[in-house]
Amino acid sequence: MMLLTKMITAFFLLFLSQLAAAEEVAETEIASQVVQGFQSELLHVMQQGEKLNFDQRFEQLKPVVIKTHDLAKITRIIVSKEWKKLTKEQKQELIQKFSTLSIASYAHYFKSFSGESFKIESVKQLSPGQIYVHTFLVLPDDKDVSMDYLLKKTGHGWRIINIITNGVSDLALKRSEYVSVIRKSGFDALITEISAKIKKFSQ
Amino acid sequence: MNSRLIFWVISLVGILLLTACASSGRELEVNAQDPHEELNRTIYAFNDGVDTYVASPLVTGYQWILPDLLESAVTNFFNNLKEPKTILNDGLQGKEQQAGVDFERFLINTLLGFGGLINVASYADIEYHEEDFDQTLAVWGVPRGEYLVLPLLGPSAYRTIPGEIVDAFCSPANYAIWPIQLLGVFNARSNATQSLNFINEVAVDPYVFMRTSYLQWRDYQITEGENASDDLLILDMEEIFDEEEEELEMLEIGL
Repeated sequence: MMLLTKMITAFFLLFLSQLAAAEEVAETEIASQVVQGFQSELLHVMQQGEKLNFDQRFEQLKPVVIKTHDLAKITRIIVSKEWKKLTKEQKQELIQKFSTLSIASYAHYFKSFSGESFKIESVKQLSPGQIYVHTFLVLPDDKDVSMDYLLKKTGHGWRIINIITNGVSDLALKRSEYVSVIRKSGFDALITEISAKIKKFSQ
Repeated sequence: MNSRLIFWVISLVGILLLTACASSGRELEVNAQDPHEELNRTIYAFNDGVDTYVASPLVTGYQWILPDLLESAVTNFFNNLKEPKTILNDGLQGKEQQAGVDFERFLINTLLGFGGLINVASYADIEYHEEDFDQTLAVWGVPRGEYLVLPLLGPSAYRTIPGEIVDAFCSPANYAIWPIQLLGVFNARSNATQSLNFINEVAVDPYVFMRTSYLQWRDYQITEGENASDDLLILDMEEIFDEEEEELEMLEIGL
């Protein structure tokens, strides 16, 4: 009887662990699809090249950037401790400006195509709420560029919150810059600069 | 790493970043990696001035005079001259296999590529590596030390200085006649043009942008990419931000 109980327990534990592993595979698959979807749209816009003007590229990229990135959380992270000093209106304004700038930047820089492609190398779950997708940007005449994505699970599914390009973390880079500017020049100066940058990218 | 790749790296990393912003004189917090920030910023401003008023106009002339094909040959030539330094540091870091590949690359480009003017090895898919003595010191466990900006040379750190000195002794370009050395300087600055323009175009604070990207990029080179999943990804988000989920949900992107 004792042996039977042990066997049932062992079987049950094995079943649970397999269930957890299957769930992890499903989650990593979903997360890699988020990255894949974003990269596909980026390539699609690049392939259309100069046929699209800035506004058209912006409108085409807007839904996919919003859908695949957690822009509110990225904004929150990049201002670090300064976030708590901002009013609700300032937080709202910063998220709106930063989101616009993010899409505008993609629309400004990804406007031509010369055979680039993306490939997903590996996907791993760092914790129950975080997945790391390791990809490469393949350049036809050059060394591949390593591009890693950190995705975090939100109420709306998996969202990109960091991109690490050849070891340089976008989030860490932004955080050091934005915090430096807010501390040196204040919130309004940051907003002014963001607005000027959006305008410049759109020209 | 050639200029196109550098451009891609920086543009992808800094894609969401902003432009330069003037200081209002508020006091700076001391950064643990950069306790000499005030002095470093002064040297950075000096370097920036020299680049804007001297180097940049000269390089514009250099690029105008030299046809693209010739410019590419010059880049290949100087990249090839970096190979002995790379091979030596491969060996010092215990990368025997990579040393073999780099030696093969050097031999092929020197003999079949007219002294390195043509990058023949790239047609045979022989990968290009860059190793230096600073990386070797890091592999041997020497700490980086504090961040420094050197006059005319740019971003650096305590450990980088002996690294640069040893590398200079190991680089054949430094034993060439002065016009060749001058050509090397023009070539290096010319290759950095896209990246420097990009930083000036997008950085909120170009000094901080340069410091952060330099330190991370060097860690990436030293750890062969291992730094990414350890240091850069998690950023203490769980404990700090989970409590704010509700607040963030309420705030809208507004687009």
